[in-house]
Amino acid sequence: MSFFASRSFWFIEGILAVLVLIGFKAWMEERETPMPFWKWAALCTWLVIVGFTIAFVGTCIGENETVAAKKGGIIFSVVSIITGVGVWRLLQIGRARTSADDNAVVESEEAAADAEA
Amino acid sequence: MRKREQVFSVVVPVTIIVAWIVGARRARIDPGPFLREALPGAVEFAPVGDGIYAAGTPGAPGGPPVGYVAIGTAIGYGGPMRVAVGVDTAGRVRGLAIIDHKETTPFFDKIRAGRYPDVLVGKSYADSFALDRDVDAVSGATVSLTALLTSVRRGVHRVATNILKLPVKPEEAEPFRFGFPEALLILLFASGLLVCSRSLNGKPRSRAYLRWGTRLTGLIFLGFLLAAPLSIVHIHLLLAGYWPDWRSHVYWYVLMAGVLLPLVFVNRDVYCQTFCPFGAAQDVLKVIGGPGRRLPAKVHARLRWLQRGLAWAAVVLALLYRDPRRLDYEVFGSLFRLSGTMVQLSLLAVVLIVSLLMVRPWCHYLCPLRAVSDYVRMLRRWLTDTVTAKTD
Repeated sequence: MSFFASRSFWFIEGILAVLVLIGFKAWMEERETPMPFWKWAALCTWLVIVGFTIAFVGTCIGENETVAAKKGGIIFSVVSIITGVGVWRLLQIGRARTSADDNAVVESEEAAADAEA
Repeated sequence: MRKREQVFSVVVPVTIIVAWIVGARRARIDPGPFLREALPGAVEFAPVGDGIYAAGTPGAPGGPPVGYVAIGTAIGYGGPMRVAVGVDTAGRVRGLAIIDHKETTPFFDKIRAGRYPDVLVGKSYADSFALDRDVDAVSGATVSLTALLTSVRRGVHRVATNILKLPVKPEEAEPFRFGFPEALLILLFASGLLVCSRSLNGKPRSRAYLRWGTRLTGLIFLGFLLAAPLSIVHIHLLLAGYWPDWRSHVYWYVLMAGVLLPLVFVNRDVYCQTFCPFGAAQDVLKVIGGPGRRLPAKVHARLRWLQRGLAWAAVVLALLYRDPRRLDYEVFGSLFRLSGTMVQLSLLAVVLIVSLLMVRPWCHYLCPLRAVSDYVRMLRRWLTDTVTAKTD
């Protein structure tokens, strides 16, 4: 039995997952970002999407379906990145604004005005 | 107007005209090798009319023909489709060989998956070859399949009328097709003109709501549901002279008129600015991505010239080979139909991710259609400047 199919792997992964989530919670507290239940739900949903992407690619490679692995990998990776950015922006809701944020908004409005022109 | 733009404005039409002429000479493919495939069993073919060949069998020289092969043509999604149709002496289809077509790979793959053209073998000159009436339609490839059926019907009818002297019903005029897609397109152009008009000046909120309404409508309907956005293929058809029948392709004519007329007469790129489905997709991603980044002015200007160069190369090569699939680097099909090559899919992935960081990267730096509209504007500006200078 390979290491990745053994109970030890899942035990270690569980410990790491708990550590990552506790670390994430502490980081959000440091950034003064409130974390109500819906933000945790959004984060967990995104983790499921990322997990699905990895599982899809891994399964396709295991089944020797390389084209499906490549195409599916590209499509689901893009979906993971886009939803990741969206979830990250949702996590920022309720966070105290800084001057850096205000500058970024001005830049964005200028860019949008350029695009309109 | 800068010297560089003036040179570009002259070079483009000259190269397009040269490519058009050379491409027209190259486009003639010899049907000879396809005749045997169209009529299996026959080996000797003698021309008996314009695009009609009588087929004989080996060992029976001078005997009566065992059948005929006729060349039928029709305009498909990307240009003309030529089919060699094998017909027996009773006017039935014995075999088919597609000599040439310009359909994009996903469309043609759908036709092949529907077991076309084999399912047409056995059809008679008396059949209508009409979609849904005589043969099953293939979802998502209606235009390509209609072209195939029309080509075959025309081939069979030519043999039946000119050689076999069979009573063929006169070809019915194409039915006038005006449905939801055409009505929606007209509505979107009207809304787009309103968004770009001065009547909404001083009403930024109304303009913003209307603009987002047209964008999202374009994204959902023209993009994901109909998968019929404007493409460089449409421009190629226009330039190559492969204009489809107006009665069955009202959508194409509305699209072309809606894009070009406002551009020429009021200097407004209504399609790109207000309801281009891919532009809308990038706008949605920008909303998700948040504050944007800008490229330095020098890099921006160079990339715009790269965009023009790519579009120019795409149009010239497509005309030269009479095939819009040459250098077709658009990614619309990859997004809205989830089809395309690995390169197109990878390019789409990069564009979508960059769209999270900056405003419409595809439209600004890669889209060939934006380059075409830029070129029309360039010419318009040059003309206006010249007329103004003369009147002064």
